[in-house]
Amino acid sequence: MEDFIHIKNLTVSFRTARGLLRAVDQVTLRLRSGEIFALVGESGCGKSTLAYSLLNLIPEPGFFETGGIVFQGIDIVQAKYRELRNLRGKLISMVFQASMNSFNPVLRFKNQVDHIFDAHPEVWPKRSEGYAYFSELLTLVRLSPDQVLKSFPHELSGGMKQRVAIAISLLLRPTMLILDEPTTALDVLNQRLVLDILRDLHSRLGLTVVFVTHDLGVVADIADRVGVMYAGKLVDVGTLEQVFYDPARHPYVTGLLHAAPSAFQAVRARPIPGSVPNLLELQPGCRFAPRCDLAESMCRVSEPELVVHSSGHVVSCHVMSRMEAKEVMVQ
Amino acid sequence: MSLLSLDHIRHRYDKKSSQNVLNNVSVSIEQNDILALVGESGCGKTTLGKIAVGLVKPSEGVVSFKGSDISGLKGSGYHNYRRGVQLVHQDPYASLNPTQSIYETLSAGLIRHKLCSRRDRRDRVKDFLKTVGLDPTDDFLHRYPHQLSGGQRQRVGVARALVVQPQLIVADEAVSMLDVSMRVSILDLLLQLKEDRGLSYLFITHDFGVVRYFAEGYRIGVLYFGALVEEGSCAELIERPLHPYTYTLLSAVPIPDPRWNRSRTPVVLRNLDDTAMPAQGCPFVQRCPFSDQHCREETPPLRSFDGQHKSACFHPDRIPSNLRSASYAT
Ligand SMILES: Nc1ncnc2c1ncn2[C@@H]1O[C@H](COP(=O)(O)OP(=O)(O)OP(=O)(O)O)[C@@H](O)[C@H]1O
Ligand SMILES: Nc1ncnc2c1ncn2[C@@H]1O[C@H](COP(=O)(O)OP(=O)(O)OP(=O)(O)O)[C@@H](O)[C@H]1O
Ligand SMILES: [Mg+2]
Ligand SMILES: [Mg+2]
Repeated sequence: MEDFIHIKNLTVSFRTARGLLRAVDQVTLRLRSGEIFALVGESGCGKSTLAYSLLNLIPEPGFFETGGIVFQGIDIVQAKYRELRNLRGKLISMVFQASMNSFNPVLRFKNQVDHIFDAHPEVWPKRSEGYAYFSELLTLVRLSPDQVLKSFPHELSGGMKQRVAIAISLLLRPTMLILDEPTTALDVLNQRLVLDILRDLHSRLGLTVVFVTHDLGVVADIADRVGVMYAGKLVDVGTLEQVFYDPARHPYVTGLLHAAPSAFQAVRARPIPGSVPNLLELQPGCRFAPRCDLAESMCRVSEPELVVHSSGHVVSCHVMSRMEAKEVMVQ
Repeated sequence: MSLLSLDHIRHRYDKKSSQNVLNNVSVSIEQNDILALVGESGCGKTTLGKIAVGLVKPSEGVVSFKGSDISGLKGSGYHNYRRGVQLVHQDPYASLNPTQSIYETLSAGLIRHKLCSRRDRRDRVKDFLKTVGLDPTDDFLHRYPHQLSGGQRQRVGVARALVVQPQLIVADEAVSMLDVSMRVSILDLLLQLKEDRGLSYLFITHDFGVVRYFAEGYRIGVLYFGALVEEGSCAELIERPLHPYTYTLLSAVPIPDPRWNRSRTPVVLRNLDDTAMPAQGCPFVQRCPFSDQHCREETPPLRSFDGQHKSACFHPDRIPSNLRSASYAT
């Protein structure tokens, strides 16, 4: 499969009173056209920041410190206003964390989308066709357009609003959709429905999807490939099969898998000891070493690089890569 | 005599509304006991929790604390109930007053219930910080909620409930906003407090993984839009649900095992957005894949199957038993 987006050595930093906080630290990652890519990791590991970078939407006081993001011949990091206007919403669209709570409370859903049409009259020159497409999308997210269009936000349940937010994100016919924790605030039934709908939209509209979550159950359900972030670093990238079953995966992934209590499993969950380090007070060596069962003296001295294992699984762990015969640096 | 019992509770917030938020729900909790409540968003879990702590007065029905109807309690009796039943709120971001320091937040209960002298107050607050695994330093006491992480805030929420030495804690989605690894450590903390102090919990969540972890060996109740449709021991109810609603919920749970997922029967979700209850018959009938004429005409009562396990379904035998208790590899 071809590269859809190539993130190269990307560092996104925030200027804080106590120094530079690197929320995304030298991340290199290739997304493939048409895949569903899940980005996982604990809170504060940089998932949202990396996702926002794809739209060049880093909030103040953040900035791109190094690297680039190549997409359709342009570098999103360097992109000018005109290119960004064409990118955001039209080529790449985003459903933000908690977007279901950010509708305008005094507008009916029919009018929630007016400002999007106003900003991009070229996509739907005839407003009526834009509304018709919105109705079509509402049907795809399994809502009744007639009912939803005339409703105000408070008249719909949280699960329904989340689906409206997904429909709106697709209004300008993007080729790529980024969703930041789209199921986190939902109950299991609405979560299941959103997952089913996303799978459906993905195949019908041929979307490339980036899905940010901290729930590995959701990942197992929807993703083709997975990237795991820890303390600003991408530490593991692989197919579902690799991330969930390869014994040479990053020990952090194993920790996350064991930490989640499961309804059907007899084994008791075990939290990963300690917590994500403060990004302003990083110690030398592997960032996960203080919490890692397998850590050796080397892990406390030098920071591991992402390497490609012979299986194709990409892992940054001294212990795991020593077990691997072939090591190739990730370009 | 139960520690807390809710009997035949009906509630509607809006007198004009045609539908009860709670419709004839009865549950009880003993000393050193756990009752977990599950159900989808809007089914009435928080309302039942608020009724249990006395923040909402039910439209009908009786809440009894140690055998006495709380609506008749006065003076020290009422005081003991309000102190004895504490709420840990769903949202650690919203539940702490942003203008109060951690010390102010935690000492308020000690002052309100006159639980210790002014001299000892600071030390008591520090003891509770230690209990919930927080740093018992002056620096920490003088911090404000916005200076804490989500996990720290949730621990402060637990400490605030604990300072008044309650007998029952209503934990409303107490861990749902937290990361996986943080989640288990807060659950462990709550379970440890139960061991140490004989605390009881009304534990509200919609996450079956969390329920299984927390309530193993105790009971789960399943609410479907105001109706208690199933109640049983944790393992029984999860491994062999006797209500099609419980079965649907369980089939929808995402499992962190891609291989197992591929072999799983996909769940069919019907009429998820239609939460209006039918005028007669079983409340679950529009969504139920196993319903028949009988279900449309008559409301199935909550009745016992093998002892403790209760279900409000005419046809529990129609529920497939394909929810394997899998020992999958991760
Ligand atoms: N505006 C900001 N100013 C300073 N630091 C920030 C800002 N936004 C984010 N950060 C920091 O950047 C890091 C990464 O944050 P980010 O929101 O990307 O994490 P996340 O993985 O999405 O977490 P969550 O699961 O909680 O959403 C965190 O340490 C966070 O504190
Ligand atoms: N103060 C209120 N006034 C009017 N209606 C309310 C109020 N609080 C809750 N409701 C309604 O009562 C029903 C039950 O709400 P409740 O908050 O108890 O559900 P829940 O099971 O806790 O849901 P969630 O999982 O979303 O927290 C919902 O339809 C809700 O809209
Ligand atoms: Mg985020
Ligand atoms: Mg609630």
